[in-house]
Amino acid sequence: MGRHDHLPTDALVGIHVLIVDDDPDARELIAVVLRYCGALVTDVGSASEGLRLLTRIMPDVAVCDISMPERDGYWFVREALGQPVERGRSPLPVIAITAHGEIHGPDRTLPAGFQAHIRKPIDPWELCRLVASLARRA
Amino acid sequence: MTGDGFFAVDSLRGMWVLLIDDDRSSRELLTDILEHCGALVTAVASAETALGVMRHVKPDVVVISLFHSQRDARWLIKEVRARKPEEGGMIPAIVITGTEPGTGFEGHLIHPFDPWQLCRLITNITTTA
Repeated sequence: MGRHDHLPTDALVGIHVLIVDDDPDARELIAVVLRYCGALVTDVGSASEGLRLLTRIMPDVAVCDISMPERDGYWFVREALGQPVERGRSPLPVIAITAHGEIHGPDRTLPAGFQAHIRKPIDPWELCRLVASLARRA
Repeated sequence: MTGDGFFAVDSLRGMWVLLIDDDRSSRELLTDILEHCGALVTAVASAETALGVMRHVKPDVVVISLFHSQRDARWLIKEVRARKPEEGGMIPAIVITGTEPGTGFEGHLIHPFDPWQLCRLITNITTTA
């Protein structure tokens, strides 16, 4: 069945997205979709690198893989939400990404602090819609 | 010549095309055509790489042009169709061949083809579900 709606190519203009994923292919594929939809994208290969970035810049939303060696997605979301937030700003929304068939379902990721949960293979439209709706605006 | 009032530019805006082509110059040519029409294009050189991409994401359509590889279009489409719908098993596919039409594909083009025909074919198979 063909999908009728096309990707909204300007839906993410003005949104800065941080991608945290240890798999470079996944990172690149997610980045290319978000950029196509107009987002400014920064991607990093580990949770600790992602956290380090958060000390320097405040993205509008983050997309984070759950299973990563060393620090995983749960660690990242815990640390990110533990960071001080500028007055008048909401905490960083983080979207969880899990591989199909993994044991981490929304029943685990959402209580852990993730705002949304997407399974691989990722539907690009669903990803863009979530990023657009969750992005915090200054 | 496009005919039928079809405007190629922007006709594929918002479409994600996974292109599998084992010939570098052909891959670049097809990427140029698709991007000119507004598509987001992920171009890879082998069927195995394409399956790797589809483990991570679900593009809107695949275009397969494999003439020099052991893992050809028929092999690839069999692997894709073996997947569940939510894992991209139903993704529409176009095959480009030298002569005979391929079965199991939603669209088919024979060399040499009109570039706009490719864009129009993608539009047709993705909007008439």
